[in-house]
Amino acid sequence: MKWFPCILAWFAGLLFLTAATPAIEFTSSFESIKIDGRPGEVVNRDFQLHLVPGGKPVRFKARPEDWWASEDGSRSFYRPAGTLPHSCGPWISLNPVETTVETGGTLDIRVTAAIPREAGPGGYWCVLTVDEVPDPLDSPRGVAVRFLASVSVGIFINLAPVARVAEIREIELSQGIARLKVCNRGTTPISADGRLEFLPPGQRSGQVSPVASVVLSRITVLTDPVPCRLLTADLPDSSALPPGRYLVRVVLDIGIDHYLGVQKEMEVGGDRLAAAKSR
Amino acid sequence: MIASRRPRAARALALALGLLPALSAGPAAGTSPDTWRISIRGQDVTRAADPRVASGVLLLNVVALGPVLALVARTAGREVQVRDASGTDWRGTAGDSLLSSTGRSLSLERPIRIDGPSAYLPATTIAELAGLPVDLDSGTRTAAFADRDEPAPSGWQSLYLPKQPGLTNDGGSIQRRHQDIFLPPDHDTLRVGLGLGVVPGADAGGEFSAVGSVRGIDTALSLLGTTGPRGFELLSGHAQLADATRGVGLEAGDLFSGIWGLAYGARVRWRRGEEEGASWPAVSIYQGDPGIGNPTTVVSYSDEIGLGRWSTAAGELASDGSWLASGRFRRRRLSLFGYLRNASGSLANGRGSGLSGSLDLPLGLELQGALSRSGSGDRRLDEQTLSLRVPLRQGSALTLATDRFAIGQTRGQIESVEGITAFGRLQVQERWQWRESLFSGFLSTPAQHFTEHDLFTTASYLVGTRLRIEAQLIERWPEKSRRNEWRQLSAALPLWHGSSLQVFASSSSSIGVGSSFRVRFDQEIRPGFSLFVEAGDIVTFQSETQIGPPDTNRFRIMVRRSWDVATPAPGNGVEGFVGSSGSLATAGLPVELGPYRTVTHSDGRYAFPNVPPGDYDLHLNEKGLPADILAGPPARVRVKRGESQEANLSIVPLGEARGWVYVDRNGNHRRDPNEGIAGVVMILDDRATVTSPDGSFGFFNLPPGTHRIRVQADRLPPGLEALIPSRMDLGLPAGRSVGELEFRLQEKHKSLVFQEARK
Repeated sequence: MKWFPCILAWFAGLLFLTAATPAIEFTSSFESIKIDGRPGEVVNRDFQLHLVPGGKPVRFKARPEDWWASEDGSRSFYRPAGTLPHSCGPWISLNPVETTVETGGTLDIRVTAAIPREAGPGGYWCVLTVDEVPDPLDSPRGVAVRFLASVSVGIFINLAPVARVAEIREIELSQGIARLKVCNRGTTPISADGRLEFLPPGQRSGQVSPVASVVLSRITVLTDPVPCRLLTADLPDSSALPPGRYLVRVVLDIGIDHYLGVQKEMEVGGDRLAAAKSR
Repeated sequence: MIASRRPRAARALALALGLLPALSAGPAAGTSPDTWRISIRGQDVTRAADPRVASGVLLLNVVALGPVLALVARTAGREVQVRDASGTDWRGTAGDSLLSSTGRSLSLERPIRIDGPSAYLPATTIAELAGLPVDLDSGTRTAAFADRDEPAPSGWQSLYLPKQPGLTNDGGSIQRRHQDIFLPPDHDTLRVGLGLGVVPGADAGGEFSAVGSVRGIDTALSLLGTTGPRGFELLSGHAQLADATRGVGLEAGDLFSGIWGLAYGARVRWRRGEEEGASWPAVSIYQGDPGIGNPTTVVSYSDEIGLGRWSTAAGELASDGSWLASGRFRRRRLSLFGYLRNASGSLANGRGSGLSGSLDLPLGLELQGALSRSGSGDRRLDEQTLSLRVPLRQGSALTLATDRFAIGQTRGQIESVEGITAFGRLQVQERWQWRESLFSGFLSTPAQHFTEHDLFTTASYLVGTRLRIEAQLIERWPEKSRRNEWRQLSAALPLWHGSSLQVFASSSSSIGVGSSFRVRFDQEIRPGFSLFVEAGDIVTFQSETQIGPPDTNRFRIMVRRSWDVATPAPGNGVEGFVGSSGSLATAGLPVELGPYRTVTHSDGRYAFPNVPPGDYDLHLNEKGLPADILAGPPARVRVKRGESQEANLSIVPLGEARGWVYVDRNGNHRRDPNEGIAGVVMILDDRATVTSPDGSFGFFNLPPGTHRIRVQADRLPPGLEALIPSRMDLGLPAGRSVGELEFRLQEKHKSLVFQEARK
């Protein structure tokens, strides 16, 4: 029976290894912080995160950093503040930087943007990243896996005048998916969303209801280092969009006084979707 | 011209483009529109553009075209202001050939023309401001502003799609900074009211009122006067001034005396103590009026004092020996009130006493009772009442009451049952009472016994949401006499906005009382100004001298006007500055004084004008301060009437302490890359943090002063130990950062002990 304590210890170790500390639960608006500022101005904003009651106290650490995303949006890149030429990270100060929030409490971070007097016009951006960190004075026993939360919200600062200009550069309808490439040709990041409409052919006005419509979810298109983003959406199935010839219209909203729009008549449906690629 | 051939289409286009005012106005008077046709992205906007030609140069109305071209243009006198598509603001004056912006200028082919709200610029300049190319063809007299340079993918056609309100992506919008300023009002307000009424052929009446505050003193003034057969009479008047800050009040005119009720005179009151709910003793002087109250002019003192938590005692003592004492008790479900009065004068009930009370019982039952005695001799009145209110379902209630009385030689008793209930929009109140009186006889008059039954019925019904009808019926059955009835029907209906029409009709079976009919109509002409007309059987202003029913077929017209008058504001200024221990900018910092808020000016000064007297907390709002600034201690400010206050605040810049924890593995006595140690707990005063993967750590937002920073030696990663010293005292100047703190660890060395192997 000498092997029995060994088996017992092995099971105990396995138990510790697989006992994961539950992730924290919290709520926040996650709305980007948008500031219309002037050089030399100091602007305050707040970021709040509410911990759902019932858990343990959570320690948070906050920092500003730079952010951009790959063209297809599948990857995000976070770098130290000041990496990008239009970073607002060096202008940002936070209070508190590191704090513990009791369960059911609120993390309330004062975000101050001190815009330098010499800053030129255009759009500047960075993100406020709030990481859950282990409590330095809490010494866990045994071996455990702990999932730590991390939240980032955008900070966008516009110094007038800014130009919001975008270009729909590529449109591709294939494999049941619509892909649009939108490029930022202005001086500030833009949010872009819109819709893809399929109208009966021969229409030149918007008075006729589309046969089908697809929503293009909102994305943020930066000015650099990746000034173009892909908007994708699933195309309707054949019951909603019978194969045939349609006037395909793209309507894009980038937050200016009018929509960006392009249209083209083409055969849509079945295998022809794959052929309806246009560059 | 498309606009002239298809006016409806042009109007629809104008509506869509927001140009209707410009189109409606048409060309300015005295001008001669040229025959140029103007289009923007293929849409005809000729009428809005109002084209003019000066020396061969086409001028267009930039104000009207602004919404279509994403320009913001307006005129201000002889100046035109234009915000171009890139957000740059330009200005120019009529007659100038130049638009100027900050450090920039734009030459024009022809001078600027200003014509009322319209401003005319060369078409090429407008195109430049809008960032659009324009194609001018003098042969066909057309000017076509092209589409924006929004290229489309090959094979796709570019579209211009104007937005409709409400369908916008807010991604481009910016949250505005909230300017949090809330100052005391810069003036007080007195609401003055004036009413005049005339009954043609009879008399007239007028009322004046002024209620509000003057320099923080509560002010109320009211006068009611009539003129008619008895000449001019001031029926009532009352003036009151109360200074809550100083705790002093003055009254004159119609007053209420606890001893005599209504009286004429003057009164001064003052507050005893500063706490909330403090009593207000008063000294009054009442003019003698034997008709209704005190026979001679008297001086009285009145006061109220608290007796424990639940009781108060009040009283009034007059110079002629009259007095009143009363007490009130209230605790939980029981409340009691009692009084004793000894009043001089002609009042029949000059002497009196009474005790009343109510008790809230379980199930919502309410029991009320009262005992009272007043007057003396043959005019003595004794009365005892007792009632029980029983609540029923859905707001209905039943009340049972009994009342016994004795006045002179007459004794009596009234028993009553009253019910109130509602059936949807119909509400009914019914009261039945039985009254029995016994006159015991006086001298040769024989004793008499009377009984009668009364039924009071009131019903109101709401028709729709506007018309309310109310009916009242009183029936009386005396024991030895004929049955009497009195009926009234009224209806109220708002005819249109601000109006109210009321109709009353009543009739009675009593001898000498006929039918009557009355109509009244109210109309608010504009806020604070209303007209009131009444016709039918109305009572005139001085009608109390009339005998018998009111005259019929009279009408009365009244106007009422009220308006607010600005009066001097109360209080005084509180001002000061926010000082900094460093070179921090102190502009725009949020300062709070009680409920009031403002921000500092560029020199760090702040000011709260017209602060009402009182005690206030003065402090900087931490939430509005920059993240790296700490507010200094708050201040307590007492604002007195007639004294300005100066109070200063301070801010302290916060600092940072950053450093590294490392192991000098290569022994060169300095920190090299890859020598940082992660996971080391660092303590600064009562704060703690952990080193990053590169061994760095930081403490932020530190107030200036001395801080002790150390390595938590008992939580070091395995195999490491701290070198002595493992802590340091850090003197942090205000707003400074210390960035190169270094803490060295070393690896624990255990000696290797070789043992001889057993054979």
